[in-house]
Amino acid sequence: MATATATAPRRRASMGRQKIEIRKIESEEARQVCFSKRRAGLFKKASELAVLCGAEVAAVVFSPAGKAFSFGHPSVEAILDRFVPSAAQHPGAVVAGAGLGAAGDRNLAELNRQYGELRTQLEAEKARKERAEEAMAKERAAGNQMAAWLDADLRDMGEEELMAFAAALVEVQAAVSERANQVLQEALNVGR
Amino acid sequence: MARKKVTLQYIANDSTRRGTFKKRLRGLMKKAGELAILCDVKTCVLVYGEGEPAPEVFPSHAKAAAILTRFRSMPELGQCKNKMNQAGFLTQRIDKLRDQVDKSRRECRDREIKVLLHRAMLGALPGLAGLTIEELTSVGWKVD
Repeated sequence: MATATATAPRRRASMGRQKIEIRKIESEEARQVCFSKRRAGLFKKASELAVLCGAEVAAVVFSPAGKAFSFGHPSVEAILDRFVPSAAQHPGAVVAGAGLGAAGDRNLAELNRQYGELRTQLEAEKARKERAEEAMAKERAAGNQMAAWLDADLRDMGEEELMAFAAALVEVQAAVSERANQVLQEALNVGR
Repeated sequence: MARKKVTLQYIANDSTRRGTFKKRLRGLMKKAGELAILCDVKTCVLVYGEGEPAPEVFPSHAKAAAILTRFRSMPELGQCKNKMNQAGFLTQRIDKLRDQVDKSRRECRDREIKVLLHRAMLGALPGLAGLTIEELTSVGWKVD
């Protein structure tokens, strides 16, 4: 799935998307991990179906250990009762969000909006990060002094290099405070 | 896989909505099946489409009824501990996203500042011209 681009193709940290066979996972640990992830994914898909298509959706899942997990929109109770009307209902079983009225809908709309906004923000941040990474990669590739220093481990550096590094740092520090004072002065002068 | 972003909002266009419903319903049931087999767990999904009296059920009416009976027979606490509805679900995801955004921001700034610092160290920024106060202070901290 990874396509080679102009820059060297990056190796992904994990193994990424792999087609797996649908049969019971033998390893208990792996099964539990898979359960956590897929259960969350299932609920997410159910949630999306409900919102996008105006459907009423409920999902009930038992974990390998026997714990019950449920998701329902508008509420698990409402849908279960619709499916299997139960005479012995838990009277007044109030679950947060059950009995949504117009206010509940408004709340949901707002939450959905926030969700969308945050997703966009996240994408923007990821893009910025990519660009920063690219800039760093370019510098590394140029094989110059910057490259050596960018990821420098102080322990690996020889004495000479360390001194040069430290000297440069000190210089920058001085320059920074000088410049900062300068800027401050200008700001004060403008204030007058 | 068409990787378009879809805003989480009720689809206004009737035919698009119906098509999406069919597609996503199929996908949801498939995922439920995979979960059930891979993890060897009892799973059931109920979907009442808009204006449809009869629900779509996984795995089957009978099996789902059995699962739900077991669910209902659990003490209230057992049911409620992991109960979710849309609002709770969204809130949880929103919090998670917020954390991700913050983390991403921090990492991003970190890298940008690092690059700036090194450029300064190599004398590529004479007099540190053109840096904003924010960038200056960040670089200053990084030095320390």
